[in-house]
Amino acid sequence: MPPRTSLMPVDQDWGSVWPGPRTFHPASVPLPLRQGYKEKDAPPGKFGNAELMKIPNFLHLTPPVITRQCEALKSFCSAWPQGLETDAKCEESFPLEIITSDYCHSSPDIRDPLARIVTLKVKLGRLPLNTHAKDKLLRLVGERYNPENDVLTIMTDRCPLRQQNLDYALYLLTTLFYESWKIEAWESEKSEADMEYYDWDASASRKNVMGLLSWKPDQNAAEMSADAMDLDIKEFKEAVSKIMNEGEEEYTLSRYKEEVKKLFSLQDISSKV
Amino acid sequence: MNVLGVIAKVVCKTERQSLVKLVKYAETGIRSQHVCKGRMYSVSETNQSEELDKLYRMVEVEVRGNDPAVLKSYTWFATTAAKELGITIGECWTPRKANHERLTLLKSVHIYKKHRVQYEIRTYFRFMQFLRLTGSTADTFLEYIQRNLPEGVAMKVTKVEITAIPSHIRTPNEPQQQALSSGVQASNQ
Repeated sequence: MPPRTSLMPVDQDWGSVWPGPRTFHPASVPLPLRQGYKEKDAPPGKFGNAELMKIPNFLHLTPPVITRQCEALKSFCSAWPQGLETDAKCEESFPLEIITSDYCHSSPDIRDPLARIVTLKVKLGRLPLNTHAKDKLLRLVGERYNPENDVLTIMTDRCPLRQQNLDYALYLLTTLFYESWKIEAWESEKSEADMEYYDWDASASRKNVMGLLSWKPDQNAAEMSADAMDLDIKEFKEAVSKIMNEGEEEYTLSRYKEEVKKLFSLQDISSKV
Repeated sequence: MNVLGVIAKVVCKTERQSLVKLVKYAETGIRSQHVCKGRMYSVSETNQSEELDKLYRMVEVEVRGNDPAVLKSYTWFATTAAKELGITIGECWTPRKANHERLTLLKSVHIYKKHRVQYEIRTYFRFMQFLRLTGSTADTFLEYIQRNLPEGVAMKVTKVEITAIPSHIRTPNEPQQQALSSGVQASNQ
């Protein structure tokens, strides 16, 4: 009997001949395939070729078949809403992100324990927080906050099911938010050592500078307000705050040096000459 | 009364009836909770049965297998199907090298420690990203993809869902006192 391929018309509907995934059958596939390696011969043909039978083939997914199947699936799909074309627009309307993973692999068990992990991401700028609430939230949250993106990430995997983990993550977010707004009695005991940023107005540096300036010979003493000597003080304050808040770098230290020189009215001798 | 008249023109028919109820109950002093319950029933039941479609900013499909040719064909199939369904395709990439998991065992059953045999399992990866899918589109597409997953290939799907911040997270106006004061006001009315 000749193989079926010799009786196949050229314009047949291949999707009907090979409707589903099937092991390679050489007499049904009208292609002159060669697969494998022999040291001195050409690659062996398709009849009796174990290599061709072992590998999974995609003969059931030719382009016309894919088109046909997708046409049938379109009725189950919905269009992406207009007005959310870019990521920025999506973020504006929907700032909370929930990231989950699903796993599909061949094993006796369809469940994968990693599928229960839920990650929640939100930008703190979108939550209504005042300065105290934000500071408290950052202290509560610790490493989960990324200051570069202003993104708070909460990852939960302590519950066995994904829905439980999601509920727990949302509960954590709610609790963190409301706890950060509460002002406890012991928070009034916050000292300068606990401050998360350097506040020059309440520092020893300001006291010293004011003391120095009030001893200026050409000015009356007891002018402790900053309004009298405004410009110098502001720039000096900025220079000191920069060193403390941003770290000791060449730029910040050189600025501080310039400000101190200005404060003491020391002129640059080298430039005069 | 003028204000109420203005409001009544703006809201729809069903809500106007419930507004009238609200005014009536406010005069007699019954708590607003009862009105809310009645309102939910009067506005049709379709709202309660409607489940909003989820929005996925990005769906990342990772396929792992032992044969790179099979993975390549599969990604071609997945991307073609996505194009047919009108899904935006993001980045598709594959790491340059596979993951070689090697194992060194003794060749012989007894002694001959110097003669060993080495086995390795090569796992190849391919990543595909699909952007801006709705929940129904994602479910349909992923089910189609997964039904045609060839044997020996594993898949991991990571979905990034975008939602609004839950409505119960809002600036508290002295929250501990608020619940008490609102209860007191309702009972006084």
